[in-house]
Amino acid sequence: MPDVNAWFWAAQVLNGVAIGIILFLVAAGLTLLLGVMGMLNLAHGAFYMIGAYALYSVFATGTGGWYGLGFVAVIVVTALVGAVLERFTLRPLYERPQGYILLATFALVLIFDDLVLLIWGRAYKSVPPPAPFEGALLLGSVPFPSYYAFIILAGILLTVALWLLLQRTALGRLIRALGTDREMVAALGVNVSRSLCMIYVLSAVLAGVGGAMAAPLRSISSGMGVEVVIQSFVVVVIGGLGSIWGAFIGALILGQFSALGILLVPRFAVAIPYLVLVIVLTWRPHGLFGSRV
Amino acid sequence: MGATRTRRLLGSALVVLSVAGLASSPTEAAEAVKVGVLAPLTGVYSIVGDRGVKGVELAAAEINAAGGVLGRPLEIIARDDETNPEVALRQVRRLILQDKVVAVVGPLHGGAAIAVSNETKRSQVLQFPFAAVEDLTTVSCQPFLWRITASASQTSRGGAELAKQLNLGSWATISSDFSYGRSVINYFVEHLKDITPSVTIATQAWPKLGEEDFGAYINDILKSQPKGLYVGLFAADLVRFVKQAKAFGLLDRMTVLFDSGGSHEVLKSLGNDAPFGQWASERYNFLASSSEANRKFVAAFNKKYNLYPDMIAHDGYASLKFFAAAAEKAKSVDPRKVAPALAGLRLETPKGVVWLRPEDHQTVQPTIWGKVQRSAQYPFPILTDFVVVPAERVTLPVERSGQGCR
Repeated sequence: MPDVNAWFWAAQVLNGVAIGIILFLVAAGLTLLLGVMGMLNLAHGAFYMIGAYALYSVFATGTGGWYGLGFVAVIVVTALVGAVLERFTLRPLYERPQGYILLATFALVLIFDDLVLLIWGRAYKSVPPPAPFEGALLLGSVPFPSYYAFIILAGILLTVALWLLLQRTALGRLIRALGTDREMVAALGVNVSRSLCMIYVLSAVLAGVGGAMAAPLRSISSGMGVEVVIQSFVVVVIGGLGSIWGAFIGALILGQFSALGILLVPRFAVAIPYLVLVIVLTWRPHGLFGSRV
Repeated sequence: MGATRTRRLLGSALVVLSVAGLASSPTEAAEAVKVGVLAPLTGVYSIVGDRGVKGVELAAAEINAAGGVLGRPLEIIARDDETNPEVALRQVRRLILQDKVVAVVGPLHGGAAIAVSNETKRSQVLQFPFAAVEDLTTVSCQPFLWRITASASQTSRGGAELAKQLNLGSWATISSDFSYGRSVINYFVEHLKDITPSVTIATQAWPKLGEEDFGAYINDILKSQPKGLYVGLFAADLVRFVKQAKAFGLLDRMTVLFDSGGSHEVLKSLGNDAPFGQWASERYNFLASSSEANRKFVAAFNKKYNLYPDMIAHDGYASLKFFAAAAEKAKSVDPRKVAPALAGLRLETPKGVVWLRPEDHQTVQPTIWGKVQRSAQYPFPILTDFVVVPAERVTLPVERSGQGCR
């Protein structure tokens, strides 16, 4: 029987895994856009926020099974918003220099932060974990939130699903092909605009699901997406731009460093993600799984 | 063209309104006394700032209905400080130079309040800050700044007194790693050690401001097995912490004291996730006093705004009442005459009878702690079982305060 100390560190590690999983869901969408479209999407955090608010709206109606219904709503809403945004604000800018997209997506961040205040009001919103996952499990004698366990399991399932989608389906092949040579794909008769829109929607839904999964543990407020997007950028750069596996490993590494770093070197906890970033980039300038461009 | 037309319309509307105003006032219209309010009116904290303005406006309406200050009506001008020291400074200059205010209520943000204090000191305009940051009445004490709001140390020293009553023996603390967050905990620990020398501090956690995941800190606190936990987090950080602490089962394993966690907005947004049965403090609570003054204030606020007043609404209301009383006493609204009249002034506010200490310009007032409970009557969690720690025990000794005013 391991002693309390061992259980304590186990709980701490699992804690880091849960943080990492949420980071990964957000970072996966970012890295997808970067890899395939070369797009740095600052508005990615807006979808994280919209996901959380959409879940709250379903919760606020008081229907039973709100959590499951909420996720359906999250997927529908983020997909719709993503599609509209891509079609009307980003597509006209694809042929322009990168700076335009950067500015446009930054503008979207500000617009969505205020839009959310207009729609949902200024008070913080809060949703509880779904009823079966409200309490804590015991790891030995150390309590561990059952909702964190749920995040870890659901996150792993989502990751596998995403991997299958990218590696084993026609859509996945198309996405990978678009990342390699967009002109060739177009020459083969594929509707490139529509495919790019689908990729943007996929990335928006991933961020929305991440936000909704995090919502029961965090406060829902305007601007909640900013911090998580900064951290996701760190994850994407550590993992290598465009690499899904890189983002997965990067997110887990960052989750561990945050959870353990707080205990071991509390005074430097804030700097840890950036220190990891510097070390990885010095050692491997293209990130852990990045290919040389 | 549309703009010109609108302007012309507005212009004629103004003429009509002012003629109507003149016609309705039987006496020679006395020149209004202008008072500014600086508070966050946009962004996340606007929901708090908005209530501050409402409190000041309710007080102005009452004072004006009773004949104004020295026969002159009060006019309130609210400006958005965007929770930002630079913006606050720009706005206070506008209030002073353009609007010619004699007093400013606010800001709420500590850094902004200090920045504004430099300006009110220079321009000799009265200031009644909402901010609790200790510096305003210690090193930054100045002739024109008087604080009606409870200071950070009053709340946390009150927490230490409650901790002594609870007699738990070992405590842990958690608060955000910035000046205000640290001072809350430092006053608590210092006073607790003073009054119960046998107490042990099991662990102290300092997450960054805006921390998303408190799991590692919560785990560490659970491991150190304190009997009590003192929490200095506020706003969104507090909401996140409570939810995660609940998920980890922390709230079932120890007694928790939330410094200013009773704040209306936090309890409201937590709803069913609120830390029921645990202790929270609030600088003012609308249920804590059954006095006539409080009953009237709550009823008037509720009637006018369909809301229950919180601490900032009360503090804005009380600040303006203090200003009016001091101006009547000084027989002038000139800040240079009102400021000395504020020294030692004693007034019954909805919270109770409080007075302004001449040495550091801080109101001497009790600290309120209560237990978080569900309520059938109100659509949000409330505080009950109030413990009111007397003013003399929670206010910093004079020799440790008011350094800037010596």
